[in-house]
Amino acid sequence: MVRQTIALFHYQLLGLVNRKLLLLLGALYLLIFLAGQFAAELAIINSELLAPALQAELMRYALLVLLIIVVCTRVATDYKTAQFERLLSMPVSRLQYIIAQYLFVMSCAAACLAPGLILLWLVADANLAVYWFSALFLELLLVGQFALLAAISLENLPAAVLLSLGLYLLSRLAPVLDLVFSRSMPFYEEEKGFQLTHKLFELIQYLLPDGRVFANNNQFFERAAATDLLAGQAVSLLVYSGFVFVVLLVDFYRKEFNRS
Amino acid sequence: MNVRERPFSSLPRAVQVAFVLWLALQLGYMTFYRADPSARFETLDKPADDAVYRVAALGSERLLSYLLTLELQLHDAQSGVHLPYSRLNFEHLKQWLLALHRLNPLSDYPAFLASRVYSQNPDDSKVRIMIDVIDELFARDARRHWRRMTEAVLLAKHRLGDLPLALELARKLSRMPREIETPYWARDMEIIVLDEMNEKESARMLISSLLQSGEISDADERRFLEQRLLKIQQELSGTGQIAE
Repeated sequence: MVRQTIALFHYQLLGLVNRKLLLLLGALYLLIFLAGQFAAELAIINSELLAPALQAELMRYALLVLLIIVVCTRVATDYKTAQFERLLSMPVSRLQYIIAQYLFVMSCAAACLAPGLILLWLVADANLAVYWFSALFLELLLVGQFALLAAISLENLPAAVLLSLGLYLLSRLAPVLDLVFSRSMPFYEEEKGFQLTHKLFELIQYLLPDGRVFANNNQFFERAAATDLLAGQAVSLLVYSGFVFVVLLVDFYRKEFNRS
Repeated sequence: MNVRERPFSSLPRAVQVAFVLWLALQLGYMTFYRADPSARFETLDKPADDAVYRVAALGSERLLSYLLTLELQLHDAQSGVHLPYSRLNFEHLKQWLLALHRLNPLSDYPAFLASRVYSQNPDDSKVRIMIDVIDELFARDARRHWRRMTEAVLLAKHRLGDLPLALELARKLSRMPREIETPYWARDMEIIVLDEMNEKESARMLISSLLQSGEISDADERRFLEQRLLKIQQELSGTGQIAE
């Protein structure tokens, strides 16, 4: 079973490393580096703190969009070329397909982040570079799972990309929305619709990941204990990943592929 | 592929008329209603609530504070023109600097802007507002901001010529807890300002009490204070003012 899963994972990797993607990644890192250096030029003091922090933050958003597109494209291609029908006619279970996809997400995240590790090592220091590499890797695993869930559920590339971004933004913006609701509450005490929406949002928050699952950029300024931060993040991710994994399995096993 | 173009006159009449009319409309619009590209000063608004920035930062409030600081720092450069600081609303500026510090208490940047950038202003009242900012930041975190406080003393003394204010600020510096490590000249600014104010007797008593208290362990500081005391005593004996 393990050998089959690894073979499936190798199959997923085929065609991933191509010149266009490498050029795109190179261009992204160049832009990130230039943006950080530009901000450092504007700062009168503390530019050595600001530049790596900004580069790390830009890296986060650039890579998560890239990963979502890569993962969704991979799954959408499988749908488009009827790979599922072929794979499932072989002695391969759906669980193995999902595990292979997880391995694919991990490899993509690590490969995309590797140049970032070197960049931060050069502009900041080794400790920060290693922290950000690890923390962002965990965050990208979460984003990859969102992308996998959206792509397998929706079977459509643009919709899957939008849903993945939507899920990520909802998770990150949950405290903002919570603040908006709490500040607006006094003005809408009589509005039943508003009260209902607020209640609904409160319930939805239980299905979103914990805020600790995201890489903490404040580390660039505070230099807190990185291992504690990473441990908290890993635990949050582990709990939430389990949840996403079972949702993914339920959705995938319910799909009927012999539709012709 | 070889595509030949037909003459304009061969186009349908409606297309010709529409082209001419729309060209005239575009030219007319740009002539009379085009947005004025010249610099127009946008006033500095008050900062939003701290909570808004905290949640909008999505967990990166330290970075956001730096980016907002840069935005504030660049507020005087609008449409490629550098506008004088005197045109800024300094009450709003004060609120911004304090809000930025609340967002990132580890940063010295807001205090730096107050002491080195926005205090370079011909309007005394605006310099006083910046001194207030430094004073407040010093009260929040003396360890981080004592250096800016010494600059505030110098601003009050030399830029405003307000020795009582300089003395008040210098007193706060000299009363910092001893655990905060500072060079002796920072703590001894009170003596210098007292000397400047011709309050020689107060300066003499302050130095004497400092030397006798045993708090001064640094040999250089001790030497500096002893020299200062000697100079003040000589001046006082010259005028016959030494109190028993």
